[in-house]
Amino acid sequence: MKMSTIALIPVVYLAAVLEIWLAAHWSLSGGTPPDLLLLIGSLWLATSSRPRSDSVMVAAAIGLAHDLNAGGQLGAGLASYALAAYAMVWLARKLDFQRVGGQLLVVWLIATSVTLVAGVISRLTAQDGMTWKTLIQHGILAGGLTTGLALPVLVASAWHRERLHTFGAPRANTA
Amino acid sequence: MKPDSQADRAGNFAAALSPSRRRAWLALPPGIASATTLLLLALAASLALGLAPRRFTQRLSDAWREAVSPGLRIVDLTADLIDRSSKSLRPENDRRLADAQRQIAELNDQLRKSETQLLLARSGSLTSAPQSFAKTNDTGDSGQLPPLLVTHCIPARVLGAQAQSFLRSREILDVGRAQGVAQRALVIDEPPDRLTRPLLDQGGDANISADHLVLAGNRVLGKVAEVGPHTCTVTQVTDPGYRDLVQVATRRDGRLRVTARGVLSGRGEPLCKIESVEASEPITLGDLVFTVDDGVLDGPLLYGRVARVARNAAAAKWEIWMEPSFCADAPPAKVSVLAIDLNPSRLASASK
Repeated sequence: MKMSTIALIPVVYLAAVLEIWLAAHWSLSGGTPPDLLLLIGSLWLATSSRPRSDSVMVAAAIGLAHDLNAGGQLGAGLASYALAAYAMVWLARKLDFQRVGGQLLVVWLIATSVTLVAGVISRLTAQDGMTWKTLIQHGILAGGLTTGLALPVLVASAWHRERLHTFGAPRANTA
Repeated sequence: MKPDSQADRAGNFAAALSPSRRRAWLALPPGIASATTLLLLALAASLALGLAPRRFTQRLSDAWREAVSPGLRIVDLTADLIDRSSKSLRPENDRRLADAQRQIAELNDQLRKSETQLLLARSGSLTSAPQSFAKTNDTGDSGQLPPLLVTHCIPARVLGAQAQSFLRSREILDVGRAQGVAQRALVIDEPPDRLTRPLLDQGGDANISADHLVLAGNRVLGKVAEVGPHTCTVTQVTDPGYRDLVQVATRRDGRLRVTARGVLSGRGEPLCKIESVEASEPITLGDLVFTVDDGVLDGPLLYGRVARVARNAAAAKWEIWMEPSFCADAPPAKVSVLAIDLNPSRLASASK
């Protein structure tokens, strides 16, 4: 699944709308609805064939949308998404994320670190009265839930790629 | 690791850990300089947004909310459409089954009510239904002064979710700048336990006050909790904090006999607890629980029936749980609020 930056705009808009709608209508036990913008952001970074430097800008934009959707102080989401994208630019040149397992690991890393960094920023700027323990629990839970939601998407994407190769579609990088 | 060759893919750890490989791994990848610049820009923007005056960030948030609102409207419409079409697709049999189940529940309820009324009628003094209280109290015995207090029932409807949202959309908060409320301050929802309280369409304008009993027939639903100008909320028997003095009556020879008195307390669970009943009292499953005669009502009002009893060998009191006569999740559509007033005929006779 390789999504162009332009195609990402309506997807982010839809995720933001659904996130607000779900927050008002979520009735399942366990509290808050899934963070769809975090899911989109981490999926996009994990599945980009080769994260480039402009990924930082795109991720920062998703982070800003996250901040605006949350309705609190702006900036924490923007910074945490940009930092995660920067780490991805670095790591993607060293590690192989083409397989589903690798991509899942990346989604988990991004979701957990973005939630943790945003939480730490909010805690340090005294916007949030969350304890450190709750903050860490929140980060781990958000990472786990986002990874769980990303799994079917990544598996479907891998299956689609495999099917294209089986039917003789040209491979992306031929020797 | 990104493989360069087949040999690398096999994994030569010695080579991987060699200083030259380590240096290569830690070396700045191409293009990272521009990524760093962009990261610094993003961090600066985040810092600027964090330090920006509230006026500016508020404008941004407002713009975002306006941009998102058409999407939200579309999602709302789509959800409504899906909900409506799923209802229309539901098989006819399902609907009939639901109707039949509802009818059975209503008939069972009526049967239980009639049984209780029959028992009350057989039990002599426990006869009057609340609707007839006013009449009985007004008349009084011949040659005696009429009673000082009279009761009368104020009919009310329990408002549903739609009616409540209609009222809520017309609500104006009764707090202002004097109470320190600023423009754009958040209005926080009531806690969940208050949201689930039934709302009646009668309030201060019908002379309803807090703690008045709320009835359906001769059964107690709860007490009035808060009174507004035109509405009031009801604390149901099962709600935490609900307390009242009750009497337990058992069936003997087709009549009801009061066996014990206790304190009924709601705990936020389907069953209420009756406390302070001596272990020596003869309590059995299915005993009926009534209000205690306080000199105003001619007859007792039904709270429910004993659903569970337990007693420790060493304990001096019973552990009694009562099943209320109403299901807390499905209050009746029409109720009466039992109000107590001074008897005007007594006042008139006193002034003569």
